[in-house]
Amino acid sequence: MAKTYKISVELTTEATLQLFRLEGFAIALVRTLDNVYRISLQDFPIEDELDFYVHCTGWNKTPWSLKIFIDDKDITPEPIRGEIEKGYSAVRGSINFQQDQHEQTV
Amino acid sequence: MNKQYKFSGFLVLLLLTALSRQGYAQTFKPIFEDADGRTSIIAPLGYLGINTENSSIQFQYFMSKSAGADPDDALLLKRNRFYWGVKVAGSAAGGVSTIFNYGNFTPGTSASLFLGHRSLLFQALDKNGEPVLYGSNQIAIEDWLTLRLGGEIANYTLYDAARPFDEQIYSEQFRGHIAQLTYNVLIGGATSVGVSWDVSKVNNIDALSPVKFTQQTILPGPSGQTTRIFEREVNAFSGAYQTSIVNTYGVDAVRYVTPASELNYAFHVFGRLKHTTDIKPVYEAGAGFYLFPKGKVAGGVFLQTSDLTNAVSETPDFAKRLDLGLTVKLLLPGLGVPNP
Repeated sequence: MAKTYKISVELTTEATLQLFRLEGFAIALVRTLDNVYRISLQDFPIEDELDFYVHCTGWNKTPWSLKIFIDDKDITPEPIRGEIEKGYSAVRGSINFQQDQHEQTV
Repeated sequence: MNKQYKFSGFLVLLLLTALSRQGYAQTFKPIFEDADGRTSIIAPLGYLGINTENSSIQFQYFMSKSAGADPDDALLLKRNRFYWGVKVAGSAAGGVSTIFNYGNFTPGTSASLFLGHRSLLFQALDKNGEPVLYGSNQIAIEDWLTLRLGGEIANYTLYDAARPFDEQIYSEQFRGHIAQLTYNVLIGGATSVGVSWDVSKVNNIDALSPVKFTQQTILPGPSGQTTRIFEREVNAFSGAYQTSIVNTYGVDAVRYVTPASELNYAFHVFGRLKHTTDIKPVYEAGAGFYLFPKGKVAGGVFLQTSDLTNAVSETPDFAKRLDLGLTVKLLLPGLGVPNP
């Protein structure tokens, strides 16, 4: 059985966030006053690594950056970044948060 | 455009460039407006900006929500395509030159409420949540339909030499409103086209001449030996103040170019057709060029003619009907949150 954690997500962008997934679950993020999409989840189940997926649309070269906190610990000291090309950016990746490392695949 | 106007616009550009050195993120702002601050391309995001052409300072917030799990079936997606926003603007009617000449803002405030729907004709996500791409180049297309409802309140001090002396200086409170419907589409992150229709109550304050004078009030004392003279400096607008209801049809097109270098740029062309009840239709047109240096302020210049066919201006020389504007926008500063 997967262990559960408190998770906080901050996705900073001026692009439109179409879809964000954690561990395959679509999670609705709401844009706040400073163009950051945020959410905080209690008791979120994680199997080994944390899988994420970001899909943004907007003007080309618009950047996005993702920060994730697990149990209030920043597991992305270097934010995960992307940039819009051809009107969109769709990035899939996983974070081995127990070793503070992440790998990305597009 | 007079020299003071040029100088004051340049001064504002310098000031904002200095402010931008705090390291804001690279951004793409909704700066594609005409001299009246009107556009068919409404970008649903938050920003704090200054339009130096109509001397307005604007703040905007748009609520947007990404797709989530359908509450009735966790395996399905709920795409959350509805959005709303607010925009508040403070303007110094009469132009930047009025501010710099006299040091006083003419008060004016406006607020707008936006209600919208994105991905109306072009879907961004398929039912499995994968990106929907179009054409052989596999590009994304997104669109927005937005209804804007706005109001404006402004107080003006007016001067009319034709009135009796005691009534020559008087105040007018302007209560304007606008209802605007826009549809815009962004193709491949580089080309945007927007069309809009709006009906608004406007005034002609921009066409009136600013005047400045000193008014003295003389009060003799009861003894007859002392006189007090009170002086008040008055900034007013001279001319026939009028309000009217205008129907405006607008079209905007933007091409955003992103070369390999960090300096991106964009071209903007726009056209307007204005119908007013008592005068014939007026065509407006303009073109703009904007630069987007990485991490810095976004700004540009635009040329606009407010009467393309010389329907109402009685100025046969086309060059004299052209207006040059500067536009500068700043990103809303991160509220304690690190920038990307």
